[in-house]
Amino acid sequence: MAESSNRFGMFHRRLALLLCLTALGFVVLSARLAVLTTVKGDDLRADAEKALVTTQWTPTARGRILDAKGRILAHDMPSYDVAVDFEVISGEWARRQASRAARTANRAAWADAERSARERLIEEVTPAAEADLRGFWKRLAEIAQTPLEEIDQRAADILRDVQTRAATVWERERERREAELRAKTGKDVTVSLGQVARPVREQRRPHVMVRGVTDEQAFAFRRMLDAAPVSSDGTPRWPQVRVIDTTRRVYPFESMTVPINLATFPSPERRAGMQEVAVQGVATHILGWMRSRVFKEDEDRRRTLASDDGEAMSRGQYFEGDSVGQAGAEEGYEGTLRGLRGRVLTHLDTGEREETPSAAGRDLRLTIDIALQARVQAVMSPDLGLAKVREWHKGSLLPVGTPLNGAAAVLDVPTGRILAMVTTPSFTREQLRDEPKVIFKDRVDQPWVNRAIGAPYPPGSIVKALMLSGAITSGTHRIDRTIECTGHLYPDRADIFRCWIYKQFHTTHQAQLGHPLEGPEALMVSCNVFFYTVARDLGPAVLASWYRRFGVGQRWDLGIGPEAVGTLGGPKGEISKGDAIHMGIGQGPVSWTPLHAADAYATLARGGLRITPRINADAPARAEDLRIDPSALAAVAEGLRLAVNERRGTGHHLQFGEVLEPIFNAPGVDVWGKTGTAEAPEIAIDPDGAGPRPKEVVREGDHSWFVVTVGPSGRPPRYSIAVMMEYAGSGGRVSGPICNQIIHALIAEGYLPGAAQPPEAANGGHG
Amino acid sequence: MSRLRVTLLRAELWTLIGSAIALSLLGIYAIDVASGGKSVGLSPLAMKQGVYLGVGILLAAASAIPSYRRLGPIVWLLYAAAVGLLLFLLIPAVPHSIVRPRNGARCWIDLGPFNFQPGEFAKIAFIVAVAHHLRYRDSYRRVLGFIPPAAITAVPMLLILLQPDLGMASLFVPTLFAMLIAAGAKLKHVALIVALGLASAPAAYPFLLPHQKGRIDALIKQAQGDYSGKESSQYQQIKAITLAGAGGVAGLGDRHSRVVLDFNDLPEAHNDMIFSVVVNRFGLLGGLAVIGLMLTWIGSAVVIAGRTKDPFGRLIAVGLAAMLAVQAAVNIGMCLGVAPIVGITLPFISAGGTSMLASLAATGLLANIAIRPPQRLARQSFEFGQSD
Repeated sequence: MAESSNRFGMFHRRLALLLCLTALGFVVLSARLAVLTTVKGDDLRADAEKALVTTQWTPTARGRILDAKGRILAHDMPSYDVAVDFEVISGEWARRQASRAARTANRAAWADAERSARERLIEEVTPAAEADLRGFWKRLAEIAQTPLEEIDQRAADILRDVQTRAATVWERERERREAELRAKTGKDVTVSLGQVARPVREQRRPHVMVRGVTDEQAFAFRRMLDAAPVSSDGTPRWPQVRVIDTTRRVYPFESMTVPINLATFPSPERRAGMQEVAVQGVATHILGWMRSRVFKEDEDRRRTLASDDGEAMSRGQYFEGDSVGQAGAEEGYEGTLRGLRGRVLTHLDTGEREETPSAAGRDLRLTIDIALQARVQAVMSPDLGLAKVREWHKGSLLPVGTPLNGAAAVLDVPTGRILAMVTTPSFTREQLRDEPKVIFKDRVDQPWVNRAIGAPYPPGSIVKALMLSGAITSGTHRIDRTIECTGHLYPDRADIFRCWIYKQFHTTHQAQLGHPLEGPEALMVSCNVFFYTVARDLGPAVLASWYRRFGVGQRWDLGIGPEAVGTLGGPKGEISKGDAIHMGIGQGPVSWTPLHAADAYATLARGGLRITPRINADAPARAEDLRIDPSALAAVAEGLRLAVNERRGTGHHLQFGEVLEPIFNAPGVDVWGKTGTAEAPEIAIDPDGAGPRPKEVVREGDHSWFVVTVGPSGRPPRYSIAVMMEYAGSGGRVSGPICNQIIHALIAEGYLPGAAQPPEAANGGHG
Repeated sequence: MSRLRVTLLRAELWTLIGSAIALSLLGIYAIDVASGGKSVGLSPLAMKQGVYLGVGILLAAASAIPSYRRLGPIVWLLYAAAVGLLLFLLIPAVPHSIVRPRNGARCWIDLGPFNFQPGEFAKIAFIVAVAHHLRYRDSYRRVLGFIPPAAITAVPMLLILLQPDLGMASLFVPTLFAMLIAAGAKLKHVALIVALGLASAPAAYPFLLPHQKGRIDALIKQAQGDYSGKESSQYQQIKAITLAGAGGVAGLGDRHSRVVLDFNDLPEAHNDMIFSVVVNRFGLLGGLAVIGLMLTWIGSAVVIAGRTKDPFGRLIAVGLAAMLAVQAAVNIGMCLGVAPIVGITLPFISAGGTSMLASLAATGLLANIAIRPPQRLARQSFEFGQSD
């Protein structure tokens, strides 16, 4: 009895308790161990074995961008930048070198030398170190094949920029520190610059001295130190150069020179013979450019592109410093253009190597003809006189000489391919790099916008052709119906829904022609009353449906940047009866882009078959038959023919005093077309930055439209051309001559065989 | 004469010795595996550990033979010596040739071929001192009676914290509690103090050193499934977990395990993270074997405590068992990602002379207790009725 109570007394119970706690602890650990080794074992093993393998990446080449004729618009150019550390530029390197040399030369005395004595010793050898550095720069200039002065200048520029930057950063830091101390202590504290002067980032990294050297030069730079003078301990007395692989994206057709025949210009601008016109930033908006910063969105997009096997993910992933397409086709076709890296897996334990070759990016072939593109851009450059405000333009509210911004689109009617698409102003990638503010901060000219597809504009009278064909097809307008132009739609309201002829000349088309108007005549003279009536009869719903059928509200998915799909109706899509009447002449709540206009006219020229415009030559065609009544198409074609070929047509001539001058003067072609002068919302800026008022109106007036289709004489239309010039006033006077020059450009590039070239325009080269 | 009589026919004596030897041998092999090495024979580190094992066995024998009861009169001398050595470490004027800070911690005295870690010695001295203090008292049955043993604990513990060696310092308090519980302190008092301690633990966080905070943060991050510190703060622990898990059920085998460990660069692989190496080599089975052997050693110590009637011997045995149990559990927890990385060794297995010697000295001391026959007329100690 005593034995058993002894054996299991309090102490033993306590021992048992402690042992149980211990055992419990170890059971928990065992359970954790079991989970790790069994449930997670395979994954963890794979993780651990990853360390046995190293991965090396081999570069891939980005695909090229080609134009319709196989010209290379963008390609990778292997190139290297040569950089040196900032301390070399600042002179710090030479000082350090001198200090080291002084120490080595006076090893015994150095330890005991006073500070001033040391300074003296250093000063003695400084000239030698500086001479070494001169030698270094000389050799660098030699390999770079650049005058030494240029290298010196570059170094001076870098030094100045970095010092300015450091001064700014330090001053800001000083102010911050003072404010912080003031907040903490409640007293004004002065912080000296010395207390905050830490090297800024620019002082710690290498700076590029020579850009874009060739392969051979890069090799020479890498070997440069071999030729350096050597100090007594065998170390080179030149600083290290850093050769950075900066394979560049090159755009050979970014700047071009094209011959323009000024003899075909309107008489005030006409000059004899050809003029070589330099065009900068050709197709910049279409092609885009590259940036070297990688954002998270790029990774995410890549992930969705290459979700097939995960392999592609790691071979396609972005590394720091990779180039990424930005804007235009470079961005939109990033997945096509960017290739997959090659990979070499080395198993460290066995030495076995697995190689996956790199896969180059695919080429992108565009439908653009870069020579045509350059010509179109040339005629739209303000230098030639057509694209800036002129006395003879009349109607613009802007001062004479103001450059006019705008856009043009040229479509191949049978295929829907975009042959040229110009927006002005354009810019070069150099401007983009050097002065991005000029491009992205200009709220008035907005150079970054691709006006041909990226900004919505009121269409104006060019839609009258669509209205006539729609109304006849929908049965709300009989083909032989005539409408009398009374100057304004409502007999008792002379202040609203007026015809342009009434507004400008206080007369009517009835008075001008002597009879009520038929459809083609109404197109010819662009009678508003006729089309107000047609639109009122169509009604809001059917009218809107016609706009939609012609492409308003639909994306083209060109893949070259933001697309303004156009708008219909108010914020919720609502269209009142009054809105519908306005929309009959392309005003009111409707907007579209120059590409919409070219597309709609191409659709009419195809007999109602709409082929969505495309710019990727390998993209499949998307076509839809709008089922437009053939008689309606004939009436429209007749109207468009009259408008530019008949003396009374709004698109027929320019008038200089008593002299009438036809807008279209290319021989051997047939032209159909329509003018549009569309009231546009004004652009106002806030000059003092203090609020909505007073505001300064910087752009006001009408947008000038002209849309034509053109073909060789006696043949159906082959190309559709839309031109829109912002705030330029009259469609006929401003956009008309530009349209005419685009026809000349098509002829010069051989697009209208059979059309005779004007004598001076013996087809010049480009490029 | 009776003092010279010893009893060797005790199962717990041989399970104790057997588990200690088995763990030590396993340790030598694991250190060799952790050294990677494709050369023939043991790596230098493993070889050295073998030497320590030999020396340790001699030390264990030495600490087993003269009766532990003779420690009684010199307990405080030992304690004072331990505290003195710990103080010596902290004297800033001591040249680096003698006390060379490692990873910023002043834990080691450089004795030429051998580095001595006074903390390991202090662990045992503290256990003996607390056992000596508690053996005939019952004052600790009141809360205020906790103060003297707490003071005995606090002095070496704080000195070790100042080195700083959070890992070793963290072993002292659980060991003290285990000894107090065994000695019959009221459980409600112990529970109250533990509860207060846990509640105030977050308040101690701001006083930790940055790297200690970092490790706790890393553990919390990892528990939340956040692996953002994979290359920095969490690196060591994630590597340890990965390599342990990679062992699977049966381990990677000798050759493969060496390669995997070689290329994975687990920091402190042969030292604090040796358990991961064992599991990598032998898998779940190996890990369970280590845990089983540890439990065997602890269980043997507990049986030895239960068998002897001498209060001094009882408390020494409990203290040593508790110390080893906590140390092993924290170390294994560290390798498996359930405890922060605090830098303590796995007894018997981790590379390191002092750790090995201390573990074997503890084994010797337990053997010492085990082989003493019960004194006649001895009564059971620490029997305070049922009111606990």
